[in-house]
Amino acid sequence: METAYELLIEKLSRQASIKKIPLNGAFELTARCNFDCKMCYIHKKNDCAKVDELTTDQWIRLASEARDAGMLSLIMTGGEIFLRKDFREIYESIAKMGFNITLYSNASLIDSKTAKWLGRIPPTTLEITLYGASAETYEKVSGNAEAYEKVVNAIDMLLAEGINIELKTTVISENMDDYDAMAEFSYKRGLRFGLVDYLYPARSASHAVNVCRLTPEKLVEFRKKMVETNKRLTGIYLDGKQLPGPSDRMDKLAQELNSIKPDRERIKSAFGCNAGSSDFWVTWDGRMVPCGAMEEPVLHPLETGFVNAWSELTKGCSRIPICKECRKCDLIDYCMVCPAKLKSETGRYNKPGKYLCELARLSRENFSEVDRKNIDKDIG
Amino acid sequence: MKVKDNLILREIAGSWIIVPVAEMVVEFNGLMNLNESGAFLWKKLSEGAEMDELLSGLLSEYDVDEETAKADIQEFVAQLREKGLLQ
Repeated sequence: METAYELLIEKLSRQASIKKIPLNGAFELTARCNFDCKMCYIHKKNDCAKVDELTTDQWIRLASEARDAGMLSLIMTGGEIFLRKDFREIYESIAKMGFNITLYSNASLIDSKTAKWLGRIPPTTLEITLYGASAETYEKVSGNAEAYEKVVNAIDMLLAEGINIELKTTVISENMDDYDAMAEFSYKRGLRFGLVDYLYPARSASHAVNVCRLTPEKLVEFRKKMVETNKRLTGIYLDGKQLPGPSDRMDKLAQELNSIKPDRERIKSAFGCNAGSSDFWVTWDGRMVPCGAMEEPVLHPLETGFVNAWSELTKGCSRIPICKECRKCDLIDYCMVCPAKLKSETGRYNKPGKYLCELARLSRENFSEVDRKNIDKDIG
Repeated sequence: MKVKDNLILREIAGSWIIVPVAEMVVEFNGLMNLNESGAFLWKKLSEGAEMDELLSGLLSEYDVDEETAKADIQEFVAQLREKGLLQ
């Protein structure tokens, strides 16, 4: 069940999407990472990446301009954000500006001092990706076996500081058998456990994705198992209740949502999400794109100013062609299709991707509507 | 009367929203949506306004009679107090 908090966010998102307000943004603070995950698109090791990163002041200035343009929710991601020596400076400055801040991290660099510091100035949410349930799996996925214990310790230290944590995993062949143990680790601590199970084959660094991502058949089998595991764990640890969401203060909003008129332009848009209508992404080297999985349209907010870049982004996104074949396909309700995925799978926005088609066909065959809703809730 | 520090009133996508920052993120845990007059009163309260200032402000800003304005202010302040948002 949705919380009132989520309804408020949804209401704001709909209004922002209609008015083309940049409500939700992600700042990719660095391309560097201390992990070397084979499926990841952004885990550079060399100093060139550091040289081309935006500076402390540039990130703070961008945040300030984005706030003035209407941004509410800000994700800070990487690479690994805690690798930046100036992360505290960036975060402390931006945290005062009045955002809903979510941090993405692998948590392996969070020690007790960092946890205490974050406890004093906490983000709205800290989302931590788990890569396995043992040092052995961490080694296989990220090449960093010793990180496993550090991550477990970090999570417990952060919880002790009262920080709102969500855990998730990216499932590939090497860690799919650890799902139950990772989910149980999460449920035991009363934490939400999310999942990324679709991997984009394109964006530069991820050449190995086609090798390590699950085939549509394996993915559907995995999702079946996941549904059963989550049901079992909900029974054991939550007495059948859902995990708590954020505060429950705004009951009237559900009615208000229905009064917001649908965005007519949205129907003509290739996007099913809010990318380019209220959402944007700024890469580590300062390019503004619709989302982390897309490389175009690309704008340069540091050169043109945030507002101009955002305005051009919305126009560029409205020109992305719809895949007509997908729109009229009878599998559309079961399909994860979006412009980013099509471009990544096929090199074109208007050509169906075989992987997605097969996954949609198998989803229709294997899952009830209730199962699909539960899966959609867990998949990030 | 003054609202607590680290609660920022912002107008976002046509709505008035209270966004907590720093240590208030955990205590407040979420966002709060205010209507137009609620946002007006919040601004006054962030400057430390007393009841009489809230009343005179509301009467000069909105087409409302004194009795209704008083009742609205009392209800608003009571809600803030109940939620622990006043200093």
